[in-house]
Amino acid sequence: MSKDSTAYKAVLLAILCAVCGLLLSGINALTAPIIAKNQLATVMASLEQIYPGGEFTEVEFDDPSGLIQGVYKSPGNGTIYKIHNVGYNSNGFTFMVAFNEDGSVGGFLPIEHNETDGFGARCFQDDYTATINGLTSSDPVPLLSGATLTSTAIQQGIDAAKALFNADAGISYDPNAVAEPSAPEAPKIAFSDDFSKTEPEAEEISNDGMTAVYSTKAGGFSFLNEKGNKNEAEITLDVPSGTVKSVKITKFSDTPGIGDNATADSALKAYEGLKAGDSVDGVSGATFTSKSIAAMVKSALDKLAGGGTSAAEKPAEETAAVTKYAETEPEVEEISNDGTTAVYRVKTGGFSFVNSGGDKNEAEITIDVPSGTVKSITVDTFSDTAGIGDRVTAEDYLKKFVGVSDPEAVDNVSGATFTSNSIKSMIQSALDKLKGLNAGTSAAEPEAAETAAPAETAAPVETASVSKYAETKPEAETVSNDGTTAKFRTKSGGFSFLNENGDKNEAEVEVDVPTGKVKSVKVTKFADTPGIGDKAADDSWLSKFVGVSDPDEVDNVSGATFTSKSIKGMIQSALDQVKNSDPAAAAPAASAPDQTAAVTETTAAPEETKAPEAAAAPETTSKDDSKQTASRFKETEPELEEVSNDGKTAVYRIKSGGFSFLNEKGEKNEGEIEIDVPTRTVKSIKITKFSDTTGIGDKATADDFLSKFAGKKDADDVDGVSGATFTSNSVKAMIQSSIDKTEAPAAALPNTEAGK
Amino acid sequence: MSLSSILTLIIGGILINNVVLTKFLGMCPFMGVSTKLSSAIGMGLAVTFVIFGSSVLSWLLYYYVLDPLNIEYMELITFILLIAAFVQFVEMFVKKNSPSLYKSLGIFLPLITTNCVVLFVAQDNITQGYNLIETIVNSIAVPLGFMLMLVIFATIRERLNGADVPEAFKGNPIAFIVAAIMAVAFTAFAGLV
Amino acid sequence: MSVKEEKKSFFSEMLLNNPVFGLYLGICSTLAISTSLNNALGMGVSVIFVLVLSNILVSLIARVTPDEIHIPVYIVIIATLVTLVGMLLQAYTPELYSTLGAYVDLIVVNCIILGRAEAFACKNGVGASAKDGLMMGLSYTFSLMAISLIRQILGTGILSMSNPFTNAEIFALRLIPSGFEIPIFKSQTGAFLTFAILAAAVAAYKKSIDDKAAQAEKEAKAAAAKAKAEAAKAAKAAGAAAKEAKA
Repeated sequence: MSKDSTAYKAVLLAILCAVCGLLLSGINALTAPIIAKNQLATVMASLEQIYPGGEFTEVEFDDPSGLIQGVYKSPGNGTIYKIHNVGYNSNGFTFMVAFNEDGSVGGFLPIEHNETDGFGARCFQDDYTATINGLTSSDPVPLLSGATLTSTAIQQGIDAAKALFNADAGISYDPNAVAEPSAPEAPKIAFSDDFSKTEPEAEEISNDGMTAVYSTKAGGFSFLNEKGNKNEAEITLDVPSGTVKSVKITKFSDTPGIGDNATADSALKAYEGLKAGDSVDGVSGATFTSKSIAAMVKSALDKLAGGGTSAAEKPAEETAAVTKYAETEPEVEEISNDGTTAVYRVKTGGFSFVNSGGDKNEAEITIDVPSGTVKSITVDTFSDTAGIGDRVTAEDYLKKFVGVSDPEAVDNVSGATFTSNSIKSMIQSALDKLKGLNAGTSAAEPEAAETAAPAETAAPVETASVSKYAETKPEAETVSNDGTTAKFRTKSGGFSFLNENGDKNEAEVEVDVPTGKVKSVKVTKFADTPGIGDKAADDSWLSKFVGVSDPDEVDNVSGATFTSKSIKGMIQSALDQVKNSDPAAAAPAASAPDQTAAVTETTAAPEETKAPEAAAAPETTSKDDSKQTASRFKETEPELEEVSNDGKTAVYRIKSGGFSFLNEKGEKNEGEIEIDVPTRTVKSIKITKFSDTTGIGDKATADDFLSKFAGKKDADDVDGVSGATFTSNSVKAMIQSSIDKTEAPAAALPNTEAGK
Repeated sequence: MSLSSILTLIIGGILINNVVLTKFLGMCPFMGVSTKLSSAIGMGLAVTFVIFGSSVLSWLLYYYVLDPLNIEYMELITFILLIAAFVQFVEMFVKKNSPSLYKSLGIFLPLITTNCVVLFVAQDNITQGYNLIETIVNSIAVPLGFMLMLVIFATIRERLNGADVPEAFKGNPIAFIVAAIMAVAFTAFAGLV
Repeated sequence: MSVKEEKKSFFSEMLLNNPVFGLYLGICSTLAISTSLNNALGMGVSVIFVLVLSNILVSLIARVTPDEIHIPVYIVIIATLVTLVGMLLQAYTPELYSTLGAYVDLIVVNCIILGRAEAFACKNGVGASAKDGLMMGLSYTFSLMAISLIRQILGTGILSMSNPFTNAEIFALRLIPSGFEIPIFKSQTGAFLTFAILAAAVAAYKKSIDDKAAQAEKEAKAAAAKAKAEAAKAAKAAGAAAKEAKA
């Protein structure tokens, strides 16, 4: 065939390829075994570094991640995994990780990498390799800060190896666990440590002289850092020896996967046999929870010993307040006190002090002695973070405390919690100092004189307790009362009512009349936020009120404060009804002739946060309980002036403060009201001056609202206008004052009782 | 294999591991071709098409013929023959259907066979163990990176022609200095994905 | 030519007709490999091996190869040789093989080899082709080593070499104190820079040679013209003298 024919070309190519192919296959046969041996030798060199002198066999493996390049088993030692992954440098890196037969890491050997010195290359240096060598096959692999990409890639590789190893060895572990950032050593906790931050509570459940069981609570990670719940445990003590018999966690509120290492049976066993003054090893990586458990055990031991160390029992107001802000380490110094005004210089630690050992904040606080409320706060030294904490020391935040007798009435500034607590702590210590001087004016006394501070604790008196939830505007209606069990239909405003002008929540409350304790609570109408407030409407929480005579014995549901208070308000109003001899009364009574209640209106909070307390109407012994007085609308500071009274019709000109007056130091609203003297009912009402918010409050001054009052004997017979609460109350105050002023024809000449 | 890994391949191929700046491949056509922008683009597209086609075919050849028959050592020969054949085929196709394009590409079309990038991509797909989808994505991304370089170089070279370059550096050496600077610039992309 | 002159022309030949700096062939592997002397040497030797053998084989087979399929034929030959070299490297010098990585296979598309096959080997005899291959390979290796020398010394400060077969170190000299090396030369940027500077140097040298040659030519021309003029003059004088003698 000629050179140019196709056949020739084809044959030539074919022969060429065949020859080449044969040649190559020959060489391949020659070199392939050598190559394989070489590869094994390089691998062997590395394997030997991990398990010197060991025998290795390469085994088959099925790795879905594709990162594992080889698996080598060494009997008596463990299994080595060769892993390749890509970190920062696109060429990637190769390393080996070995797991001993017992699951611990047998070695971590970098084979080759191209990472950058000082960054990714640090992952292959002693510090990090030592960390890896200290892990086990069920531990999460920590990342290295500053070498994120590389350490993440290493983490992925080791995780792939872990998966295979644990599957082989039958070890279960959490593949999604995140490595705890805390120190690997187990923290040693002594019972003599200060657990006040965990706010431990202990309650004796039973004590038969041999065994005592306590129900305890103490805050762990969730409580201290995330405003979450405390952990709860049942601690059993052996009475004669004063030692711990058992610890059983009944409620775990911390982080699953991290804190629960401390609640594991093995960790709890550590407490058995311990007594007061001992110390215990916490669980490394779960320090908060360990401390919380230790705190609970200690509080139980203390309770047994008879000492009360827990600060969280229902204490008198002073102690509760002090321990609440204990970490701010407040220092108070009285500068002056003339019986009317007391000035204090206070120092408390904010963010800077508590977290970085920096300076405390300092302020001068002026207190109104008679009412026990704040008059002014001036911050002298601000030591916290500019731009963050100084929102708290800003004028318009500080002025919220004016007239307040409990700093908790004001919400913290979001994002400036430390500084807020610092300021609150200052106020609280100033108030406490004052109270220390005014002996005997603890808020728990119902019959106290004018200067009582608002009731924190459950005071079983109509006014004090109900006024505690006054802002929820509770209403209670007796359904039945047979002398043993009283049933009430109650309403009270929660989040929706107070902040969104929505409806009140409604509930049916049953009270055991002889003991004055709650028998049952059932929410019949839930008007607040589903998913948030309904935790407080849930039976599991409501059932806590059974057998309770003071709703405050039950903690609010964290994150559902408004609704919780609403429920408590309803319960309290029901309880009050039982205590009251007058079953028909729905509103809080007790007049206080000359007191101006401090002004704290609830400002709408965007999320469920603690609602500020409405100032309580100061308790005084009222001479005339049955008479409804305008003390109900005291805060509007109504001023009444009689224009005319001809025995048939009484005309009054009245001023009373609405939104503008109460919140913005604006003007009062003014109105003219006609009362029909014989029946003491409203004839007409005309608003002569409207000072509140146009478009909002003026709905309550509209004729169609005002006309509802015609013929009414009681201002509260008409519901306020939703969304115009302040103005509605202002109007009602005007009306009520007028009605009250109008004595029945037999009464004497009207006494001008001008409110201040 | 998710959208993010595909994106990683694309961005990695074009920017982070740009085949010209990080692996020094495809330098020969660089020196020759890149002065006119239109020819740079044309060349780039031609290379992209060739790489895409030949890489996918190579992948199929490897996994369906070589691997099962255990003759992986024939990879180089078969791949390069496949590439040569593919280029030949493309040449014939272009000649027949678009003579103007054929003319403008000129000698460079057959020279694509010896373009390092082509063989590299074909082999890299096997070395990295990509599946078919990843192969396809990679085989398009990498030549696009090559084309990006061609285009950038073309524009820079036009400027260089008017610049006052030292005698010794005129022509290719200064182009390499430019490449050095670009290599530094592109290291900024490291760690992007 | 004397031995000295031969040597001189050998070096200038290397330099001027350097495939890397002069013709810009085979740049890809040059830039990638030249991080250390070992790599350069390893790659250079492989290229020489392939180049020489391919030139021999191509010159043998060229006569029987039809023109249309000559490209695939050459490619097959070169590819086979490259695969062979790869296998041998992998078996006997695994470290070197793993460092060279993908660039071993890329010798196939190294423009030098195919270029020489096309340009020289198919037209010439076996002996000449082999010599040509060797020369080209050597100059390639030298260029590679030049770049590696610069990059290794400046980039790591150490000049070292180790036996590729056993990985034993042959020597290691620290030329730049630790901490004063310039790591940029280890990276791609350094490769481009070194290459650019060397290429410029070669270009400058080439130019000077060209200038010199041009100058020499000019002078020769001038001398020749002068000689011609002289001869003409002399002829004229001789003619005049002859004329005079006749008379």
